[in-house]
Order: sequence, then structure tokens, then C-alpha cells
Amino acid sequence: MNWTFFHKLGSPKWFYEISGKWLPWLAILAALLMASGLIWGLMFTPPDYLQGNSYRIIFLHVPTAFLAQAIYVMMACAGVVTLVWKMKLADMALKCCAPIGASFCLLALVTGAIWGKPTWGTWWVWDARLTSMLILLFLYMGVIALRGAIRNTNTAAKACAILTLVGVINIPIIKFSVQWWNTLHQGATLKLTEKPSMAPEMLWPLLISIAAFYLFFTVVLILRLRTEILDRERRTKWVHKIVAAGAGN
Amino acid sequence: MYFESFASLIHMDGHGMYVWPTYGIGLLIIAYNIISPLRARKRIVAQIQRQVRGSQSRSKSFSQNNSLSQKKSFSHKKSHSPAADHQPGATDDLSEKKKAAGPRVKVSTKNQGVREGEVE
Repeated sequence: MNWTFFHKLGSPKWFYEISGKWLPWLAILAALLMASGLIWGLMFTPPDYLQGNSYRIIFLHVPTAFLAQAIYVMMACAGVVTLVWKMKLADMALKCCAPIGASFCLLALVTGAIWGKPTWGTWWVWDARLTSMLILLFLYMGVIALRGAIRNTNTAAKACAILTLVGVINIPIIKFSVQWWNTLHQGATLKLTEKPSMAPEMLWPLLISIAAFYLFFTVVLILRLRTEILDRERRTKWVHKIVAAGAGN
Repeated sequence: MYFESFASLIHMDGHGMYVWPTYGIGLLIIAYNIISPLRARKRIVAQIQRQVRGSQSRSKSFSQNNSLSQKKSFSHKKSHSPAADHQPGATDDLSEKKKAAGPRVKVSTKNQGVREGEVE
């Protein structure tokens, strides 16, 4: 197998150049999808027969909860690459993912709490799904704090990779919490193996907003990564050239 | 649109007070995720620009001073070198001084070469 693409991918300069070309298109697509998904969900879908209009929170809640978990898994993968191949870009990705994941995790928790009030009659219960999600937020904060506490870049990279990998055990717990324990939280609406238990006029805007949030994540991750690359490669000539050419896109 | 009027869209049969704040908070989080990296980028780019300018002005002052006597050039250079950031250029000063202790002509060309290469 030809591994050159793998090493190319690990080169910050190559990533900086290629991502600059993708960024505007991804950003436009993310904005269009997000606007259409959320406006469709808010204004054009019929209310739920049980939950009424409060279910419209789903179009924010489900994408952000998905992403909060997916970003953590991605960080764990980046952690493995950091530990095994010592790839610079993987550690940068791990660092840049953390604040985005934490913000989405917080949003999933807050939207869930607000949704819980009209549906369950309470903002918060110490139930398996909610508690494991709160632990995920703490794990994100732990990774961010750990990096802030260690000055040496290489040591911080290793420590954060290990912490991320230890924390990944929480992901299957979140996923299966609604099956293993008796919880207030409803079971999964979307499953890969079965037909969704949702009417198509509600399902489509949900799928669109999930795609939109994934794209949005890609865009803001690239934004952060490009800044991180400039910061870490600031002694190289190519970065000096970009900066000299005016803010450098 | 599902709702008949703007008022019913806001009210949402009593659920508007839950739905709209949720979307407001969502918008805040989205805005944070866009603004925070853009601001960080501005800061980092400004830092690197300062750093590059710093090494440029140092190399300028160095080449100007080559016409002066060796001793003078060092004192002059010291007063002009930007004190601010620690960067590779700053550590180079020491090695330059060491090199400069040798024959004059040879040193000046060597150092200029190094400087130009770095600033490029």
C-alpha cells in the first residue's frame, strides 16, 4: 500500500494549503444547510402528537448530542495517531477539537434540560443518559485544562492523548445508557439498522440539520487548525511568507 | 408555513417560551465557535508579523552598522534591537557576536546571508 498520502496528511504546510481551498465552499454549504434545516424544523413541520411544539428542540438537540460524542471519538483516534506515529497534525486536531466538542456538549445538555421541562416536568434528573453526558462535558474540560497546565508541547500532547483514550470508555456508556438502565430519556429515534420511527416530514429537516452541524464542525475545526498551524510553525519561512502577504488566508 | 400568524409562531401553543430560548442559546454557541478562532487567528498573525518585522529591523541595523567600527556597531545595535519577543532571531545574536570576533569582512557577508535567508 502506498503510504505517501498518509505522510502528506501529516504535513501542516500541505494541510494549510489544501484546507484554504476547501474552506469557503464548506462554509457556504454548512450555512445553507443549517439555515434550511433549522427554519424548516422551526416553521414548516407539524407539531408532535404527544409533545406538541416543544419537540422542535430536537433539530438542535440531536445534532449537537451526536457531534459531542463523535468529536470525542475523533479526538481518541487523533490520540492514537499522536501516540503511535507522533504526527504533529493529529495532536493539533486533538487540541482544536476539544473546545468545539465541549461547546456542543454543553449545548446538548442545555437544550435537553429546556426540552425536559415541558416534557418530563423537570429540568434535570440524575438519570443514566444525562449523567453520562455531563461526565463527557467534564472529560472535555479535563482535556482542555490538562493542556493548559503543561508547558512542554510534546508532554502535553502525550498526556492529553492518554486522558482522551481513557475517557473514550464513556462513549458506549452514553450510547447504551437508554437500553441498560431504566431512564427518562427516550430511546434512539434514528437507527442505522432499522427504519426510523419518525414521520418523513420531521425526519428530513432533522437529517439536514445533522448534516449541517457536521459540516459546521468541519469548518470551525479547519479554522482553528489553521491558526494552530501558524502558531506552531511560526519559525518557518512559508509561514513568514503567508503573513507577509497580508493576514494570509 | 405550519403556523397561521407570526404571533402563533412565537407562542407555539405555550411552548414558544422553551423553543425560542433554546434556539437563542444555540445561536450563541454557533457564534462563539466562529468568532473565537477568528480572533485567535488575528492575534497569532499579529504576533508573527511583529516577530518578522523585529528580525527585519535587526538585520537592517546590522548592515548599516557594518560601515562603523566593530565596537560602535555593537552598542548601537543593542539599543536598536527590539526587546520584545523571544524568538529564534534573538538567540542568534549571541552566535553572531561570537562570529563577529573574527576577521571583519568575512563576518559581515556571512551574517547578512543568514539574515536575509531568515527574513525571506
